[in-house]
Amino acid sequence: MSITIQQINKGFGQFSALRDINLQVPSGELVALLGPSGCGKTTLLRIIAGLESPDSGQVLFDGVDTTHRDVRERQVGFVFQHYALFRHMTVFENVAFGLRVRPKETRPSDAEIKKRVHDLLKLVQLDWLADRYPPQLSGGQRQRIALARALAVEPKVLLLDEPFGALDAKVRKDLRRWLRRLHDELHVTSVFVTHDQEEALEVADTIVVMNHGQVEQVGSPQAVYDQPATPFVYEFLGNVNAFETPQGKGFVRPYEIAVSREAAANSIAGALTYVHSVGSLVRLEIKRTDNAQYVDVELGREQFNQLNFKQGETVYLKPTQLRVF
Amino acid sequence: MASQKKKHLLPGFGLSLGVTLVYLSLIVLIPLAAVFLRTTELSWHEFWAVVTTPRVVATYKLTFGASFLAAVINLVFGLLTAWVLVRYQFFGKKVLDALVDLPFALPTAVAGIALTAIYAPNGWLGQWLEPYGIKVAFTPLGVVVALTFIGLPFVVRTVQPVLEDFSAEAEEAAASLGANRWQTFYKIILPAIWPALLTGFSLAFARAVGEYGSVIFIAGNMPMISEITPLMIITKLEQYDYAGATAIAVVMLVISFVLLLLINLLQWWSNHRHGNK
Repeated sequence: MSITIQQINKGFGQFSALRDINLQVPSGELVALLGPSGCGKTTLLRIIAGLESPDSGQVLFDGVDTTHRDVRERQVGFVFQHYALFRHMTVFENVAFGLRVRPKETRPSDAEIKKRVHDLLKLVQLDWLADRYPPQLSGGQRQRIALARALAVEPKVLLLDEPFGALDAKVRKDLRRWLRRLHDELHVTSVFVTHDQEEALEVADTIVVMNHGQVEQVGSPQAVYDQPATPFVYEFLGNVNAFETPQGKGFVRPYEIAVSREAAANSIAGALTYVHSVGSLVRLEIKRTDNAQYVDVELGREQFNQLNFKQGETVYLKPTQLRVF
Repeated sequence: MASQKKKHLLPGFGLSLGVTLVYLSLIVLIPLAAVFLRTTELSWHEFWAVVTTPRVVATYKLTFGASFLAAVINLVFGLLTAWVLVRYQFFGKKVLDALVDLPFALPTAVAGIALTAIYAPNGWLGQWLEPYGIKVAFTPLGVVVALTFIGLPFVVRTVQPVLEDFSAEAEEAAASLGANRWQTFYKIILPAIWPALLTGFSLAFARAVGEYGSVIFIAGNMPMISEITPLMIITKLEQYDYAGATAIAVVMLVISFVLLLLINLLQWWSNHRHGNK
């Protein structure tokens, strides 16, 4: 099911959380709403879910206006940051909840519910935990159960609010891949909120970068990373060096800078203050001679070994690519 | 190593348990033991005769029956009050919140006199109820009213913090899964606050069983009809029948203890069933 957001505005008292949001989520895509905390991404997600209503504007599911439809009737699966599992129910009952609360006419039989729940638990690879209670599970397990519970009602849209935010780095990485694979299997239109750029870049088909209640850029991970539309996107996604140029503010990624011992036309002189060499990349910290600002440069290990820079040495920098706003 | 004493992670277990036991003994156990001791002045036969006189048996029924009823009323309306205080913002909320504790602070005799004045056949409320044949003051119904009054804060104050802690997310999750408001309350909220409700209920019940001051004014204290057990005990004391008074007290103690133990077991069972601890 496709989602269309038209001219959405939402304020909380004096604070304007969302301003004139327009967005199109094609059917079957996995979209990330990415931005710093307080940028309005969670509010937007909650408006799509129907947990919050916009001050103005419309939400359309498959072209049908659902703005004023109750969350109960929207058929969305919502996964909360802190899982929101029902702690007095077993894992099985948590997943079965959405089926058990259906009106008699549409409620599946007990045998069907049992089968459906076990299928879902197998899908999230936690079938063996069916009789446990949520407090007995780890964070990663809880999040997968929350996902299974949301999927039990066969939602048309899956919405995830910082799904991995409360997990530690290793589990987060595993779950990320797993979510990607799950989405490829189910093809349910999904929107997830995150403040972690790495997560968005790795998982999403499309990234919506948000700031101060507005959409800064929409595009594929590669597009938003390689061709940032605004200074904010440049600074938010990945490391970047900002320069003052006569034409305005210039941005250069650390790997888009050539370093050499010889001065050239328009090159910038600086002192190599720090060499951080762990892994396949070597990071250099260079203090500019003219204005004492620091510049980050990344080199491949082989290239660094060939050049063999020493700390304290004077080097010359030249951007290979520069974007000016 | 195996022969070594099992180590407790928290230090001071022995000391704190010792202090607790001594304290509880001084404050609760020894006075209560004295009650039992005093009763031994009576033979079994005499004891049985005292505690089973029809007039005394009628007081047990009224005391425990009215206390139970009052605790049930407080359970329902205490939950409602807590809900309103936690979930809604309105003018005068702080005042209402403070009002809840008033039955704790008020001398119970004052409460009794006030309630009697209001519910007497010529009182503010009593005069409106009288034409419908509803008599509150000087009847068992009056006893229930007084016990409800003094037990009001318990359920409110035990449930309130649990409701405040209860995450809105669980409710939203239930709604997004298609549950209606009633299902959300019944299946999600009620189980979460159930232990607190039960605690509030047992506190209100225990308080009502032991209540004396507010009840004697409104009850009218008619033998076989509106006498409560604590009144029987006082009556015996006034007649210098100490053994008789303690005998009735012993029966009250045993019944109260058994009931409270049952409530605690119920609570333990419901906690356990939900895998909480």
